[in-house]
Amino acid sequence: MKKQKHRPALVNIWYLLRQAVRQDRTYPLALAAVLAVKLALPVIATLLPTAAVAALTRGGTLGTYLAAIGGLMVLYAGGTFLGVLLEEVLSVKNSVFRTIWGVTAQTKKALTMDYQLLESPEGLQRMETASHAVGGNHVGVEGMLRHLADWLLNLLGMVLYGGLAVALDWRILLVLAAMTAANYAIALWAWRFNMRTKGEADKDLRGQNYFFRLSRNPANGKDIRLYRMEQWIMGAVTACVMRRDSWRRRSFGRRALRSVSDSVFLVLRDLLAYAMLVGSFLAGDIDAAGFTLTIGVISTFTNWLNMFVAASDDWRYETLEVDDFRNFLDQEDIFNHGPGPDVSKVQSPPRVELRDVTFTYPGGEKPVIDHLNLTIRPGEKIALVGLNGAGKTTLVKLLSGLYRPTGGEILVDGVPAADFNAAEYLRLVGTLYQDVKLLPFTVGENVSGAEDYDRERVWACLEKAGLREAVEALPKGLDTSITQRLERDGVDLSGGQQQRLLFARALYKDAPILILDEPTAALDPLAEADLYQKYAQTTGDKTSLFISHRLSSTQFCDRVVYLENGRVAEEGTHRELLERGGKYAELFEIQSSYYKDKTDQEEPS
Amino acid sequence: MKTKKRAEFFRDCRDLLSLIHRRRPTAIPAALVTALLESAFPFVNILFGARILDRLLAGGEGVMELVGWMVALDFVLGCGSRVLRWSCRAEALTADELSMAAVAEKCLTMDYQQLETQSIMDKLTRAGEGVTAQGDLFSFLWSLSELLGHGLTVLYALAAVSLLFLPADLPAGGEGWVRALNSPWAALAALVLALAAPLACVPLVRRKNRLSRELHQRSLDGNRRFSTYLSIACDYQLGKDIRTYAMDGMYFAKQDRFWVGFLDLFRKYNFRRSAVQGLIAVVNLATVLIAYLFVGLKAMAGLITVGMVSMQVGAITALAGAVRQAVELIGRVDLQRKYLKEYTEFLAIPSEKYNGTLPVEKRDDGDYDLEFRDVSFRYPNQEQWSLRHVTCRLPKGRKLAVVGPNGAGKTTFIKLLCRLYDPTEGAILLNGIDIRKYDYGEYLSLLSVVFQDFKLFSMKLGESVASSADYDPRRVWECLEKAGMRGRVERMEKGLDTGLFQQEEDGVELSGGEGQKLAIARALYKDAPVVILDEPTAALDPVSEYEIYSRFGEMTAGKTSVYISHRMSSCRFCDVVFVFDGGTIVQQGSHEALLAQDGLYSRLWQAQAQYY
Repeated sequence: MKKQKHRPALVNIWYLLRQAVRQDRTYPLALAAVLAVKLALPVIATLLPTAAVAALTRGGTLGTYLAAIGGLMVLYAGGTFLGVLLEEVLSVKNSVFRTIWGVTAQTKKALTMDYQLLESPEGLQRMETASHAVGGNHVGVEGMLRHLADWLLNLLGMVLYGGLAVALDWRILLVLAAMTAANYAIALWAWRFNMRTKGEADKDLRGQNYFFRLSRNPANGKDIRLYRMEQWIMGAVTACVMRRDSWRRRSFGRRALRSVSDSVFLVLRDLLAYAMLVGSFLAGDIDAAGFTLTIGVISTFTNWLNMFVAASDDWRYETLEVDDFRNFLDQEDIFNHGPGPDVSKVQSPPRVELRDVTFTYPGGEKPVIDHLNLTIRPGEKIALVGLNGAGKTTLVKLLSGLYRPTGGEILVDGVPAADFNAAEYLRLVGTLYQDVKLLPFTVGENVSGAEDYDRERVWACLEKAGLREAVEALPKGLDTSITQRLERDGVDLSGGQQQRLLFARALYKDAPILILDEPTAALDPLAEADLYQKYAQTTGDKTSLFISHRLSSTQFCDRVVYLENGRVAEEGTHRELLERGGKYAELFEIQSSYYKDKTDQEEPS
Repeated sequence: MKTKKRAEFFRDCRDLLSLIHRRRPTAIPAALVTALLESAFPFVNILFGARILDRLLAGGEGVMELVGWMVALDFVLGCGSRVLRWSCRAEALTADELSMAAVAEKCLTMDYQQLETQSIMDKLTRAGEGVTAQGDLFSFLWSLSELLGHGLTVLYALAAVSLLFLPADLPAGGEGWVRALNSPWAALAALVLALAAPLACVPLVRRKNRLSRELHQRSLDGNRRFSTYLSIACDYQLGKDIRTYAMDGMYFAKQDRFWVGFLDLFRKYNFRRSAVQGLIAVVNLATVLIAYLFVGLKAMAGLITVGMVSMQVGAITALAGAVRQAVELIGRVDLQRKYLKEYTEFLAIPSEKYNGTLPVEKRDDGDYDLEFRDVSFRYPNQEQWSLRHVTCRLPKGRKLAVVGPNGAGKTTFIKLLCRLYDPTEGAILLNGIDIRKYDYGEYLSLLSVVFQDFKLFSMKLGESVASSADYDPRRVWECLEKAGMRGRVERMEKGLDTGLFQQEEDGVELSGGEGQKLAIARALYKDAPVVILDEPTAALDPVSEYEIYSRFGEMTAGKTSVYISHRMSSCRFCDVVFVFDGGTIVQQGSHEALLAQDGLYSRLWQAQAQYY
């Protein structure tokens, strides 16, 4: 994986704060209000006992005592109530910011970035870490922003009380500085250990989660039971948990050491402070109220200091996640997203030409598509065949505009595909991908790709795809949701129905180029024959590419292209290739042997 | 009713504690000791601070000795409780992962049918959501230990406050109000007043808890949608379709609309809840005020020392705080107990399947006779029959092809044979005895199945073939050979130790065809007398398909084998063909005999053969 950019925590928090303010002008106001109230409360809390002792020892009257205590209590109560409310305001603002800004940015990037970048293993990993960074209230983006108030509060408190403490005695400040330094050093040590070992521990966490998900997925249940895998899987789970346990002990042990070090310094601090204060008191420099106040100030100051260090420490972890998030967003697209040639000028159907096209996956050793040359005439139907791994699916992605060739070029009506605006190029091609995937939205939305669509046209396309009757039988017709993932009353479609729905979608899009990647694998023979016919009928005015392992399907195509190792090995009509007696003929022979009369065939096996 | 509820509360708590104890014996003692230390900690300063001040006011003799004691105790209690807390956290996180593992284990071993039952999976979701929202087993333990801590605080504080009840020697010229203040009754009245504040908060706390519960209930659905939207955006396979069909606009319109409602819900509840929370905090401050008034008056009257003022204020505040937090905690513990009940109940779901005890006779000749006798089946909560009056006998030691249109009942037939479901009517017999009477594990050992939607997991390749961490490498290689995967695996650097898929380090991705071959190798390794292959060549190219076809005879030699496929060609090398349609067997016989009939079989055959 490429080295990822890391930024100082303050740079990331500044970035988040700027985004938050841009989202919500009142954000700084809420932040300032929380700080003001939360800074005032401990001051009042320190003053309260001091005022009491002062009134009692300086010979005050009952009236002054009541006034002092009563006044401070009223202030304290008001501040407390306001503090709770304001904190909630800020907390809601933080959550809203994470979703409205963070999750939107993450999903938008995931859905619109160049597919080629997204689909690589690093790309997917980046997406996953980015989605984790906006995945909760206390991690990454929101976690860091939440800690901002704490951090500022403690910083301000530290400065405020630090001034007071230094006015009392610089030696106490020295002890506290040493305490903080030691704490920081240990924290750094713990952090380094964590960074060094976290990779392994995270891997085990992912492993665990993988097994947890796996175990509760009914789709896995059959194999698990038939092959009695429970012991094997639980063995792996337990190993993950136990490795994490021993790692956690080591990691937490290091962090606990900070508590020990703090405690040691607190002993020093208290001994020093009391010795000094007792001396001053006995010398008559301060009175009982002064004594109480000073003890309060020192302990509050220590508290600010500790919490400041803790808040900075939390940031150390969160800033990495924010880095992940920003690195994901900052990935630069490689396709043309600016203006390009006018797609509406492309003829329908267009001529498509692959000129010396090469494609190598990042990190791949040899090209998957290797100097491939192929011209598809306007309106021609091409059957693309070849063994598994010949490069068919990669070619589909290249033609669909999801990938760009690493060498050579694809021309549509003579215009290089890379010149078009990437989103506009996508409008030229309708593809049925091999992995059948539908959105959990309504049938109509899945066909049209929009919420606002032409219902008549959707019905017409469903009709052509042979799915009209089935959709009419659904409780809410076109408005029935697919699966129950979003709507409780959604329905599940069979594999064949899903296949037909995808076909209807391609018809609705009515793009000049049509690509079908293995559309009949899951269908029974009758449904398969039916779909072949429908394809043949409806693709008349398109430049189309048809991929299938069923060589029989090639017969309604104008030309067969046999792909091998990323190159065109043979091409011609079905008849021509059979007569040539090459590899295609051989494959066809293998498949057809079973369907021919037994008399002229040898029984296999 | 109320006592019954209380009894239930205590019983549940006891059960949960014993569950925790079984899973992690060190957890409860660690939590106990932590509670003990943490609750004592604040009293060191309360107690010593007062005495130090008094000693100072009295001239300062021996004051540094007191300081020494205070600092030492602070160190022991503070350091001890903080270190222990880290240890408890580690303990809790591990045990939490073990709790999740227990859920996984339950899912792996429960009846398959239960795994597919919505109500049971809902229970799992509820248990999981309750646990994430309200805390897992160890948050529960933590709450209990905090509760104990508050109880201890009450004791310590009462001990300190009891000093207030001792009447002092009245100073000379004590007025009436001074005498009144000096009486234990005044102290009692002040204490009652101080405690009235947290008790007055009980209805407020209830209201706050109710708001939390309501929000949790109302956000369940929203949370599910939230994660559905995220999973759509993060599904890279779907990403192809979304780009090609420009569906991102629709996605964002829906997502944005969803958020407006979802976030409003949170806003509304959170503000109401925080207003109540703020009110609770303010009402509780009354305690501090009362403490200062009473204790201050006493000091002013000369009944107690100035040092006592800060000590008593500290003690009374701590006392009221502990009572308040205990009240809130009891509510939380009760909530956690209820959510955890979903969790423990999930673990305790009993098997609904009748599990017999008969062992399966071990035979070398593969003489296992399987028969369907008038079997009908419909899936739970479905009206339509998936299989209806199926009667047939698997041809012992021979090859059976099962064909028919999608939805004809072929896969259901296999699921019943594997006892993933039991027939609704009729019975399946093994050597004349109902398969329900056999021990389930023993029965399954008879079957090697490659399901249509077979699953391989991200673990080591060799283990995956053997479905076990211990395996015989020689046999694994043999099975890979037979499945046509040996060459590919030999080219892998780590051979059988190669990881599969992304979860493993440097895991290899398999193409659909390679996966299918590996699944076949796994079935061969099991070496069961009955082999079932459901659509094993769907993802294979013609050459690989041919390889599998050619090896089929060798792979299943001497075994009863069932081959389900949409490729009609596969019927050619099977001895018997069953044709399914609408849940029944409509035709059976050899390929030649069926082809000669004018029926569904010949139509299916022609649909494909016409192209060749």
